[in-house]
Amino acid sequence: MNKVSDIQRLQLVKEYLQNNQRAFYRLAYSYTKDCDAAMDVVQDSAVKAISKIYTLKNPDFLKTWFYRILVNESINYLRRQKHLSFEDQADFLQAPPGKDIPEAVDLYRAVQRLEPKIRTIILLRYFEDMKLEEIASVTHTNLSTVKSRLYKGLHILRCDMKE
Amino acid sequence: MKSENFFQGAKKVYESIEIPTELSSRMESAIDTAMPKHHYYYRQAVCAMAACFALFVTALNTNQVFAQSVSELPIVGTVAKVFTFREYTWHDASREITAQIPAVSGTGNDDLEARVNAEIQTRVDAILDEANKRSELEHKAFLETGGNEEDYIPVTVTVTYDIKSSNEKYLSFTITETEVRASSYTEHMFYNLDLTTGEDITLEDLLGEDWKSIADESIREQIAQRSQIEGNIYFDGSDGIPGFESVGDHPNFYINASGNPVICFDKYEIAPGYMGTPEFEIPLPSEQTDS
Repeated sequence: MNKVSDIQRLQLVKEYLQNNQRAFYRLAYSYTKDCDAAMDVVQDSAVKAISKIYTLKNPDFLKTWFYRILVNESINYLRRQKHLSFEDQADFLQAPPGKDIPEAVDLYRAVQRLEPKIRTIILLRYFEDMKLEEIASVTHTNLSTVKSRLYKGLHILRCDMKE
Repeated sequence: MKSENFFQGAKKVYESIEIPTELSSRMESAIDTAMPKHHYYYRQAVCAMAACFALFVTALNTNQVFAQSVSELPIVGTVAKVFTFREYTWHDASREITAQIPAVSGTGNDDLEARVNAEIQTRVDAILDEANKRSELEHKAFLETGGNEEDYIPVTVTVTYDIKSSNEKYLSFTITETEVRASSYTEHMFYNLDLTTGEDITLEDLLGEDWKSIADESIREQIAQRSQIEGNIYFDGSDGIPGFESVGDHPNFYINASGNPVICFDKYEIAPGYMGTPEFEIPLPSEQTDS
C-alpha cells in the first residue's frame, strides 16, 4: 500500500510543479536577477523535489516543503555569485516591468536590494501571500526570527521610501 | 498605512515579471529526468529477493568461501543478477549521502563477478571518498568565511543503479552518482557484460566493424529530428560551443530491453544543461540481429 501512496505523492508533486511554475520562476528571478539562472534554479529545485520526495512527510505541507527547496537553491545560487557586484545588476534595476506607478517600482526595487534573508521574508509575506507560520517553516527558523526579520525589512523599506 | 496596502503596487510589479516561454519545457524536462524509471516488477522482485538475501549478503561481504558456495546454488543462479550489495547512508552538517551499491551474482561465471564486483566497489568508494572530501572542504570554507552553521545547506550525494536489460546472454546496468548543490551534477558508470564469454560487450560486437560511422550517423539524424521540437536545443557549433561531432572511441552506452545499444552523453556535453543527459538508441543492423 505504501507503493501506491508513493506514486500518488509523485503525481501530486508533478502536478503542483506544473501548475505553479510561473510563481516559482518569479521568486527565483527575484534572487538571481537573470532569466537563465532563474530557470536553472527552478529546474534544479524541481529535480531535487522529485528525487527527495521521501522527505515530504505530509502532503499538506507540499507548498512550504517545496518553497524551502526553492529558496535554498536560490540563496545557494547567490552564494556562488558573490563576486558579482551590485553594479552588475544595474540593468535589472533600471528596467523594471511595470512603469505607470513610480512609487511601486521604487518599492519593488528597494525590496530587491534587501539582504537575501530579509528579502525572503518580504517576498513570501507580501508577494506570495504566505502566513508567517508558513514562512517560518520555509526558512527553517522560528516564528520570532521571522517576525524580527519582517519588522527589520519593513523598517528599512519605509526609510528607503521616505528619502 | 497597513503593510499589505504599502506593498500593493510593488506586488503588481512583481507579478508582471515576464515569464520566458522556455520555462514550461524546462519544467517538463526536469520532471522527466527526475521521475523514477525503475519498473515495478523489478522492484517487487528485489523486495522478494531481499528477504532471502538479507541473511547472507553480509556473509558475502566477509567470507570469500561462502560467496563461492552461494553462486553454486541453482535457485540463486536463475533469479539474482544484480542486487543491492551494500547500502550506505550518512547524514551530518556538511552532507547527506545515500548509496545503494550493486553487485553482480548468479551469472555462473565467478571470474566475471569477481572482476566486476571488485571494480564497482573501488569506483564507488573513490567517488564517495571524493564527495566526502569536497563536501567537508566546502563546509569548512563556508564556516571560515563567516557563514552560520544553521544556514548551511548540506550537499546531497546519491548513488543508485538501474538495470537496463538482463537475459541469459547479457546483462546491462548503469550506476549513477548524483550530487546536488546549487545545481546538480551526475556521473554514470556503464556495465554491459557478455555472460557467455565473461567479457565486456563493445559496440563493435553489437553493430559490427563500422560501429562508429553507424552510431555517428544515427545520432546526427536523431539530433536533427529532435531539434524540430520546440524547446529541444543541441549545441551546433554556433556561439562557439562545439556540438556533437562523433561518439569517439569509448562512448558510454547500455543495452535496452530490445537489445539495442543506447548511447548516453553527459549533461552539457552536447546540449544545454536543461536537456539533461541525452540518450540515443542505435538500431542494430538488420542482418546482425540474430547472429
